[in-house]
Amino acid sequence: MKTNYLFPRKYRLIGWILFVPFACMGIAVLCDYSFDWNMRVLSLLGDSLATPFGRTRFFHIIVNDVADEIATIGTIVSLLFIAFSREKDEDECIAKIRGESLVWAVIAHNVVVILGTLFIFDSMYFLFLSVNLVIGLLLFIIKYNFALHTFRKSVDHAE
Amino acid sequence: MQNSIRVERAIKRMTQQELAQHIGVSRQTINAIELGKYIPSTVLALKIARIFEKQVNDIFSLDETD
Repeated sequence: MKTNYLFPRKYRLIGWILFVPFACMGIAVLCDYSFDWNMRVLSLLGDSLATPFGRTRFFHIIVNDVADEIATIGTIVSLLFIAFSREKDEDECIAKIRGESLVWAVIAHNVVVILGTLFIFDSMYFLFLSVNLVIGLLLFIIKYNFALHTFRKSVDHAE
Repeated sequence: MQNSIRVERAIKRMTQQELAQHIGVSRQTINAIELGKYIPSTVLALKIARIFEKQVNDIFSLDETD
């Protein structure tokens, strides 16, 4: 029971501090704002629009605006810190609430994916898939904090 | 599952906070166990029994719904 994969408690605050700028940056990128942080990067897998039908290319160097990569990774890491940091009063009861919230979030996330696949099309589907990268973590954070708040409220009176 | 933790605490004149500190959980968790909202793990049940110097079976018992 000693092993868990949680971050230390202070990582939650770090997560929130990181989340705000990275999320704003991500929204700016999704709104087609160009940061022009162009640099040469290794592309393990990509395609060339210069060739007919966009031929798949492996392992080559490309010039790319890295703003979207930075925003995506920054947002995901900050959400992981917020979602999976230890509580001040961490114990097995909280671990159970976290586990149940995780099951709920995985199911809810996949329902969102199915609904998006059914009803969103064309370039909006690409936008949906981009946002979808963080929907799972966001759903978990909302569900877990709501469940924890409800639990604490229901058992807070000392006897 | 039913339990008699509240009675045992009263006998020992122990608060929820004191019991919680002894076994390393939050006071809310002790309250949740007493109210039947949370079923403790075997390790926690054994720790509680040890505090009250009794067998686990003397404190925890199955009810009709189990």
